[in-house]
Amino acid sequence: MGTKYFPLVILVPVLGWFVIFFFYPAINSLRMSMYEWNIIDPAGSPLVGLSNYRELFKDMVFLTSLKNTFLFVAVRVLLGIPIGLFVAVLLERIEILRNFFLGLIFAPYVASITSMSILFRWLLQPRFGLVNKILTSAGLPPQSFLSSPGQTILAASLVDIWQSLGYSAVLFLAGLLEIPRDLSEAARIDGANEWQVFFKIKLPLLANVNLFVFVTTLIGAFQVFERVAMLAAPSMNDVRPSNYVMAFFIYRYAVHHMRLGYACAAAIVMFAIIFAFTLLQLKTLRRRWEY
Amino acid sequence: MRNRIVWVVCLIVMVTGLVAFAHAQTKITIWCLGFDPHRRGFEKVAQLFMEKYPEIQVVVEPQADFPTKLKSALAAGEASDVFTPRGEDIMEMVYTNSILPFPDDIFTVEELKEKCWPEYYLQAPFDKVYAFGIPDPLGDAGIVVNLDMLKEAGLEKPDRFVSMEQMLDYAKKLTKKDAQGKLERAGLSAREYNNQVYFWDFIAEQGGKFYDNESGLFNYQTEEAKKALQFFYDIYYTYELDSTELPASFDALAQELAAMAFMWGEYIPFSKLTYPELNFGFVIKPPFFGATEPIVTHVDTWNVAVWSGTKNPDAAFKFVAYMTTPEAQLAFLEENPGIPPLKELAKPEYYQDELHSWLLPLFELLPKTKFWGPFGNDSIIKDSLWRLMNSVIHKEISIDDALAEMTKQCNEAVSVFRKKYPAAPKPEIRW
Amino acid sequence: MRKRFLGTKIFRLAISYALISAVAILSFLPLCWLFVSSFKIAKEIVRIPPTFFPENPTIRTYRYLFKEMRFGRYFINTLIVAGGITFLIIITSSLGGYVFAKFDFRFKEFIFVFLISTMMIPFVTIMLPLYVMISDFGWVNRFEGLIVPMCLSAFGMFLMRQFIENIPTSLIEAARMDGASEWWIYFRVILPLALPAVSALGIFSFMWSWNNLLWPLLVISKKDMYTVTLAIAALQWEAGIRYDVVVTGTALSVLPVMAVYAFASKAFIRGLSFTGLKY
Repeated sequence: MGTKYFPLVILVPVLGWFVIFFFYPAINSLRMSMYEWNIIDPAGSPLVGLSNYRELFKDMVFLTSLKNTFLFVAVRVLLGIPIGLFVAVLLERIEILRNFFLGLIFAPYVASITSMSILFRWLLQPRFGLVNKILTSAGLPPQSFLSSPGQTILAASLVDIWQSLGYSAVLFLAGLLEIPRDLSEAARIDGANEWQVFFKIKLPLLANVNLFVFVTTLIGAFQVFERVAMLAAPSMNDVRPSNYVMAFFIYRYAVHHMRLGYACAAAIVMFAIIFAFTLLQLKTLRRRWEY
Repeated sequence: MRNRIVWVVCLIVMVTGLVAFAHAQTKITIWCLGFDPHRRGFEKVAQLFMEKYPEIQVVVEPQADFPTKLKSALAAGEASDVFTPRGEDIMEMVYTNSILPFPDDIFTVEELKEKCWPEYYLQAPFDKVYAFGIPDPLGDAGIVVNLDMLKEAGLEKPDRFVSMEQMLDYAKKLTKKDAQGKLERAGLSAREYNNQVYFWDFIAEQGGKFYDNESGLFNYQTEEAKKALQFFYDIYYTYELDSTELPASFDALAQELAAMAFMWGEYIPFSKLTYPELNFGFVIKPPFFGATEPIVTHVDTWNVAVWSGTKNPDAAFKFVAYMTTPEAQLAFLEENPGIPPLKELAKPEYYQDELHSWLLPLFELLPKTKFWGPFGNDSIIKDSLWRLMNSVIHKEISIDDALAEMTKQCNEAVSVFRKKYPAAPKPEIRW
Repeated sequence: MRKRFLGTKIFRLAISYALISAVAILSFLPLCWLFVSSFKIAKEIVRIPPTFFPENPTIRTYRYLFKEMRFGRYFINTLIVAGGITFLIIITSSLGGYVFAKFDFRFKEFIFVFLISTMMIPFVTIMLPLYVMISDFGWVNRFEGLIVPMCLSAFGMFLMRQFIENIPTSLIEAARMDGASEWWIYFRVILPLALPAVSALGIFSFMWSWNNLLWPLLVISKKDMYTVTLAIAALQWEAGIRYDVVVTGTALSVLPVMAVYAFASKAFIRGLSFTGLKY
């Protein structure tokens, strides 16, 4: 089998699969966004063109979800990734029991978002939750965590960072362990201190992993749904619009309000935003390293 | 001679084959809520049904996230033979041809009006019956109370609260505050999404109307609506019986952080299953300030219907026909306490045990129930109302703004529905 | 003297251990709570503030799960689905990642961006057209319907591309010059060197397909085809959530994923030592 044809052999079925199972439904979704789509009677759906989109940008609930989503993403990415990197650096330094500690840190990632969100909803309860109890005994003022929307989104972001620590730590660790020892040894012999070794040698070599973690975390964070819904209220029906995020807005309008066309329009907007951000990242952060 | 024997044998085989084929089991599936009492109710009825009709096999399939599942399945053309639509969905299902009308020999509309409570006709005012109800507790009838907390405070559990003042008095005595004066236990919690029906009821009890039959429009910017919404606000900030720092009603009851709550009737059987160590009782709600009688409604019924795409309509209708009999309704009632659609079955003798006796005080209110709707898009309307009430409680929006928003959102929801289905009958609410 | 001690390796190592222990405990404690709470009654689980050890340990929730609901069967279903998806994702992603990392062809970046963009489409909006398609194929309530629409992953290809790019091309060129076929290179050079990434991808894919709810919810309606998450979701009733069963069900469902994690992390470490030795 020639080297020349190998990419073709692999990519044709792969692309074919994506066209069937992603692209085609996504195009359908775009089409649905132009209608006032009736789930139970598709043929009878009236064409409304771009009016769904116009309505979206006048919809206070949608704009609130946009704002909340951006806040969530900002905290999750700008705070969460450096913390993940920090944990990976710590793990790289310890040789004995490294796997054991990695296992413990990875463990929460394995549990479902729902169960951990329920637990944290109780821990963050303003009056009786453990977190406020700890804060007050340390002399700090208790927070009303889940009562104010800004705090809810912030709390959701922090819980998400906590539960996904294992994800970024594992990837960064793999990247760090791949870096050949002699490089850092040589630098140390030349008189560089630990900080310089880290920032000048290791960090640049992590560029590939960094890009990956950044992009995937960003894409995942934009699509946050269960995390906020389960943290904000005991049931989906109780989530107040001030706590909405985009994915929840889409889900609610698609499934509960049965306005699938409207929901699809929101989804297209969300997709466009994520796409723009990701493209930006790929262009600015992408570097290729050849040994 | 040999030939004849072969012939006879073939004939016997053929006949046996035909007979077996005729008696081959047809299978029908039923989708219901995963809620144990519902599931067990259907399983019991299915068992009795299969004893009567051994050639039909009935498989009960509880579904997670029932509304999502049902709507997606209908969209894809993959639903079960029989399923349980909510009352508020029936109209849309009829217009989209998702469910089949009952043949006249099973149940006619005249029989429905005569033998069943009015909501079962009013929720789908057509000239044929499309769905039949199953026993279900009313969603806005009363207050769930923690019996142990009542006893601890030296209070007797009444069957009904005679006035708002009495209820508030109980609530004040059950409220607990800590040393700093912050609320430790709510005397009365009002954060559950069925609370919007109580809101409607409060308006009507004052003689107000939130909907005009003639124009087909909602209006919440009235004195009565304001007083009703104000009450919910007052629970939190004037009477200080609950606080947004405490968990919402559903969790608070189980965490013993609320003594009483405006809550669905289903909470009683649910808590018996999930929290058997806790003792909850049910008290019929009081009439609003200045009114004499509380109004209860049954705007959230559960029913059985036959899917229009079923491959076994005969078997499906046989099952549904059986569901309309008192025998089946009582069997279902045993597992799922509630009020059956057939008026004749609201008799104390069936409600003697602990699982059912809490419903007895409801009987005297049943003949006077009202029905709000069907507006079309009812679930969206209720959702909007509850969200706005919740926002008022969290001080995110003023009462007047909330009332204006309610009016706007409810009217938008109905106009969307009426544009989709111009032939839909407008509700004729009997205030 | 003191300054020198603070600068010593041992002190810094001790700090690292201390910090990592703190992080590890904070991470693991809630999961412990989950396991321990599976032996509590519902009333105790929801109690605020949460207790850690059960006051009166009971196995009644376990009995409910295995008797009234046939949890064992759901475990097997989910194992088949998650296992199948993981296996297929690993193969397809590593092949795709290899192609993007080490080959050049027209429109490569364009196609790559196209693939990445599929990750940005919220599942909720494609799920209904996808479900209609699956039902037309006749795959409802069947393993095909659960596995095939999930068995490729743009995320996986992205991950594998990033890691395979770090493998020196010289190795591959050398193998090609020796007359090796692309498939040989894939199996004997790429896969072993990319083992850390493969095991990471394995654990992620397994975990996501194990915990997936929305898709099985649509595709499955028969009780005996339930996956574990579907079974747990069926306990989040309109009338209320059965926290005791949710907690216990989740605790149970975490176990197989942790087992796969233990297995994958062994491969992960082994794979890392491969790359270490090469240099």
